[in-house]
Amino acid sequence: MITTAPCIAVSGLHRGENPQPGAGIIRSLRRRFPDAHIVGLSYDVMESGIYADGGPDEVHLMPYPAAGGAAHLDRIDAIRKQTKRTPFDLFIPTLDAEIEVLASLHRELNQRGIRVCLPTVDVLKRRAKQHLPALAAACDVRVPETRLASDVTGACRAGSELGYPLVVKGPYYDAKIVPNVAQLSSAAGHLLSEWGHPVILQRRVSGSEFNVLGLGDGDGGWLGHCCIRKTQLSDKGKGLSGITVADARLSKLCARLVRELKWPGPFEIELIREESTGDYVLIEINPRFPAWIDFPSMLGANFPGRLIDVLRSAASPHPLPDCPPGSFYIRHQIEVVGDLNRYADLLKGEPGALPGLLDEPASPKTKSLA
Amino acid sequence: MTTILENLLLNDRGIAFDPASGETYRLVGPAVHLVRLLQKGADDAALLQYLLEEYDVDESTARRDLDVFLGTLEQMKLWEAAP
Repeated sequence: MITTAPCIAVSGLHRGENPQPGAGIIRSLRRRFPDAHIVGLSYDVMESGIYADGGPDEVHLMPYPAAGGAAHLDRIDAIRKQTKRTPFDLFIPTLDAEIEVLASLHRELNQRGIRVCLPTVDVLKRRAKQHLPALAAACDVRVPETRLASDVTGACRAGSELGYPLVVKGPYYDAKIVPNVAQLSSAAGHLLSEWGHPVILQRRVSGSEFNVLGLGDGDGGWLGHCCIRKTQLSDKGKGLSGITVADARLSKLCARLVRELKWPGPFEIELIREESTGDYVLIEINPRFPAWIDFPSMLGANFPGRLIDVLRSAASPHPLPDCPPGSFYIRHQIEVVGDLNRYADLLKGEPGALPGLLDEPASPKTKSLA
Repeated sequence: MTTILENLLLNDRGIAFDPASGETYRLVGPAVHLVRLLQKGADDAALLQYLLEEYDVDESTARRDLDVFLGTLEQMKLWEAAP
């Protein structure tokens, strides 16, 4: 059994209107490993979690995932060389686009002694939004009627086939409900320019939203899962509150998906329970923990902590306890104080030099300060 | 048949929670005890008896209030009257 304090890298530190999972993961890790050294990997100096109490012990800026795998690895190497302590050897990535890059770097990460739980490129692809209908068919799970389009004209044609209102999504992020062809045209154009093709169009399903997070064992089972119904949604459709539920039908459906994919590591499955039929309809499978990850930790099921156990130990870890139904969370936003010295250090690439960021602002917000 | 009402988790402060759907309900006055009686399999006569014993009401008022309550449960698809 390993008893030394773990050194863990975590990305996705922002907790704004569209919160990322990293800050919640760090809170969970600190509960399980109070002496852990946490390395924050950030894509923007304005990620709020950089400045939060109990946040990462050190933070480094990363190149955007679009820069590719080689740039990612170079930066990881630089960060690990320049740290004053033992370099991080455990990594919990949290952003879909980042995971897409890392999934093709299993061998390179392994060679560096970095332990990270990632699906293969093929498995990752099978749960992508555009491939979800095939996966769902293999698992006897319903999905909304779906069309793909690679340009605005195609999107409008698909829209007339599906009918309105419908949901239009980018391949990685963003989803919008559109009531007519004019708004579809505008939303599809925006998504195509922002995220590339395809755009995914789905018939809208009316009902309550359910989310299931868990930790796959890579052999078709899981070390635990936690189901919630979202009880309050923001304008962007993000869950502002949720309550734990226990529905065997929901758990079995998710177990079928995890078994089919032999999913390794963190996941979040998003579903809607259709009002008219009571059926669960699969909306998305995310290859990471969600932003509400610290909620089950507070109920005694610490998924990030157990993930670190898995990464550190060859022995089979114990399954996590079930979260009792009827506990709820409410997202509570507070202000954190930023320090301009730290802000400047990050912009300069300290700690750890990042040549590409030395002389240019890291975010549009920084430009207005220049 | 099993109804949602049988599986409701009920606390002493009148909050009922359906663990499968995640819906919560607020029960007021005699509703808490009536739901508990229904969960134990009480029949219509037992529910009426409870109201008459615990509340200062005549039988026709109790009957009307009970029918409204049971109708609400049916409308919310929490319970079904025996055929």
